[in-house]
Amino acid sequence: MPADLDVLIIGGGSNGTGLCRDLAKRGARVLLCEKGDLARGATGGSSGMIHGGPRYLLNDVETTKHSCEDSGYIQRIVPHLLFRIPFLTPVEKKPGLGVLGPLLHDVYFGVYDRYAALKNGIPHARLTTAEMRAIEPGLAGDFAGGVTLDEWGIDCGRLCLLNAKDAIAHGATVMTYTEVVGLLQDQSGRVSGARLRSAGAAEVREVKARVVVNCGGPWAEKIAGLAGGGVRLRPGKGVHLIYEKRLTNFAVITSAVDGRQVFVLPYQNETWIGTTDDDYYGDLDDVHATQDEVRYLKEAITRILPGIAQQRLIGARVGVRNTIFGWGKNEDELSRRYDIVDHTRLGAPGLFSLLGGKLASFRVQAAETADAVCGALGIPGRCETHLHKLPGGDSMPDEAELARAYGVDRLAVRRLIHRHGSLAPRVLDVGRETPTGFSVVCAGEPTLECEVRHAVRHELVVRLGDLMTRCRIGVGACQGVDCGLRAAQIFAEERGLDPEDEREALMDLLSRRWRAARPVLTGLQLAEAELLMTQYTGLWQLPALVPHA
Amino acid sequence: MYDVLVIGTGMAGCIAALEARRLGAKVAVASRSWGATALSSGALDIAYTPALSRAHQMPRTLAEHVLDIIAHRRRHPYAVLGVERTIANVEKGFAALAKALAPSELNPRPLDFEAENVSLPSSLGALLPAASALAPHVGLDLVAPVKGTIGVLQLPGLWSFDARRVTAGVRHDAAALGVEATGLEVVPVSYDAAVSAPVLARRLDDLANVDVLARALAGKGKGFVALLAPPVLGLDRHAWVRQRLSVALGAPLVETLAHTPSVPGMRLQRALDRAVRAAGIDGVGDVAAVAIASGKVTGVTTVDQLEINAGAFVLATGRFVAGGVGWGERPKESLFDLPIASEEGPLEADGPDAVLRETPMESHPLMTAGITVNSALAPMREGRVAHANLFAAGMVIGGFASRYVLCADGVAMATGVEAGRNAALAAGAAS
Repeated sequence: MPADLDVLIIGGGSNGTGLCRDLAKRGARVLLCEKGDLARGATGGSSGMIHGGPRYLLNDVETTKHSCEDSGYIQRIVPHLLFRIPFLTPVEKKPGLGVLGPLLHDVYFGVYDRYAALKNGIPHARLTTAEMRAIEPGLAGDFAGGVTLDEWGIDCGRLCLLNAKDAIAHGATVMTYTEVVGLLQDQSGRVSGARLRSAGAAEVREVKARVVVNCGGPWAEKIAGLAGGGVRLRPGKGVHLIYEKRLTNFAVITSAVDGRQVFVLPYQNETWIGTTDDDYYGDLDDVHATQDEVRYLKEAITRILPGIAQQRLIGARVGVRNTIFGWGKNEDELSRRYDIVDHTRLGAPGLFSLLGGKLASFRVQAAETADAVCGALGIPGRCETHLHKLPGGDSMPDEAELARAYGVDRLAVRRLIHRHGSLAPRVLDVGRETPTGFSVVCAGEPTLECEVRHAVRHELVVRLGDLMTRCRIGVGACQGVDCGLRAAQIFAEERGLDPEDEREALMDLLSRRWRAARPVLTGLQLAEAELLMTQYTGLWQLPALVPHA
Repeated sequence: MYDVLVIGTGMAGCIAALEARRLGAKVAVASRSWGATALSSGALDIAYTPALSRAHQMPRTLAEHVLDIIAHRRRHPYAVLGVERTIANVEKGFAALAKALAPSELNPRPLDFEAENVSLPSSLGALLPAASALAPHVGLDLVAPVKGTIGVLQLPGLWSFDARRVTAGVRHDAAALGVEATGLEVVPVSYDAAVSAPVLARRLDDLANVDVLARALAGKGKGFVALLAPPVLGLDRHAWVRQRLSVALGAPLVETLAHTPSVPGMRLQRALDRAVRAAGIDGVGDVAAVAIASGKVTGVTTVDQLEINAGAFVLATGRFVAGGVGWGERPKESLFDLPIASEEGPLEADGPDAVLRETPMESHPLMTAGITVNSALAPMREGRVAHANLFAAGMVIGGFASRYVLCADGVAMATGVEAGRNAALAAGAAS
């Protein structure tokens, strides 16, 4: 346990890890505690885009501008994690609107273009219906034309990891599966540290820090409550459906039955359909998609892309937005602005809360929070997180050359470079240690054995399920039937686990998968689930054939 | 025109077809592709009720397990058939299977209802209770005390078989059963096997490749009473391969049971396919549509637009893996649109959530979903026989999941024999 801390950060999402990096680079002594794995809450459930969000233009222009600006910086510091997502908005014919429909969209996105340059976006283009159908043949409906725009996707799991890794390189400590169960306060109410408990442990430890920053995302209200409260969120549950592979050329925007915006998003090797946005009053630690939400999204999308109904749905991602409280508005009209609260005025000096915000502007949110914290601590220096690359972001290795040098398939190398950037050769070097080092662990991705070993050794992996966000183990079509077993084996080898612990490790991965798969367990997924259960309960007795009655 | 058309050629469909043929019917089988049988482990599961066995803390015979199943699961096919018919049919089906597998040298360990299940090691290191198993996996019951040490072969590159995991897992499971496990030791073999299990198995059907492996194994068996091998030693010529390698080792060689993709499952399916052909049963391809007139099934149309007519039909299309039962917009049986029920009762169309539990490895009612049948194994719709000349066999029948009680092969045998006979009788073809 590090002593003599300047700052304790609570939460390992994009805000918490971004802040941790910023403060560590300024020389502060920082500890970050996350009760689960990195990038699990609002960050993990997000659409994974660093965009301005044209939908915020109507009532939240500042958010659009901020996000576009910071998106540009994020692209510069971590280019390998990014991928372009071209969007298409088909404009449906509406009675009485005629050519006005596309024109209105044209003007609207014309406004957006002014911000788009900040994030290296290509200006929008207006398309005729014929042009639109040529680039996206699956579209069904009566259209007056369409408009394209350009956004960027990012691997947010790895973004948080790289923030954390860079922070560690600058002296910070990052502890996952460590929950803050209480805050230390003196007579005057000043917050001077926290009580921590590791997952599964009974013992509670105390850690002292001059300042505590609450980056708890949707849990921020609860964390602030440990020191008397005073902040308020209006958490919004968001569901994405995940289809097995890329189903469209473009991301397509349309509207749902209630008129809210819904999109199809080709994302990495998958297709996401999202998102719902509903006030959430339930248990933040037990969020799952409901049948209604699944139907709402399916209905909205199959209306304009009917072919998707035949495709294989492999899961539903769920997250809860950390939206700042507002009264009297619908969920999708709430501002995505952020707020840095100094709890001095709430009677708890030494505590700060970073509330709200967007993934696309996590860096500037972190920078402003770090300014406030450093101001309070008297730490000089300023934000440099936009000037220096995140690990692996400095250059892109040559795909063909690496494939040749290590005798690995080019596609696997391409995916490896996407995740590791200039550090890809270091990951490949691990492959030379074992005869099967370059074999494919997850065929759907494809992920190599060496990458799994590297992640287990160097990427803050505590549980097997953490590999889902490190190198996409268990997230694809096989649901872990294939790759889970192999990954568990590698994990056990690296950690020296006995068979019982290895089975438990695999259960962790499968249980996480199950939360996502359960609400959509139909079609071919059901066959996969039957196979998975037969294999693991049957041939490995996980967990030793649970008694029935 | 056939007397009987069996739809599905897994274990249940093949046994039904062979039984109808044995009774003198002219039989055809329709098949889409391989299903759960081809993914099976090499064990033959007849009856094992883990919860009850653990609760009772005492050994139980196979017959007692059948009784337990019937007493506790009223929708289980064994309960539908009743205990006497279940045991008689399993014995009959098992005999038919043994005969069908003999030419492929897969002869299963003899069945004995008065004996306990044996414990066989799986490729994942668990000790699995099984009533019987195919020949390559028989010979080492690791719970029964064996004097001496057993070697576990590790082929480098064959990651799907981890000898370390197998030895540690067997030790652990044996200890959990309160048995002192036999000594086990990993035996590394220098043979480059960096391919998948099915590819390696096919490769080892070739003499030249077996010779290379035999040289790598020469003398390695010294000091071991037996050796446990990954379930990859040959696909069609497995008996010959095992024999040859055993000679090189100087010790007996037994394969573990397999996880997917399973070479033992492939061997079994290939042997069944051959037996069906050898019995003079035609194969007609995949069924695209069924024709029904005045309450009876009259024929089917295959995907190649062939029209096949028959006097009676057996539905043996399997469950989710094989596609006999599915859930698109609602749960359904895929050929006749028969209603689906789990062991808890009819399924609602709302969504799978209601019939699934919180964590993956619990007993999910959805995993027991299938059609409902009467005691003659005729599929039911709204309390009545759906079609007078249609009978069902195997996992398309609901009321059980193969892994909550280990019984899938027994169900295939018991229902396969019954459905095959009833179809032959309904077609007026039984002699």
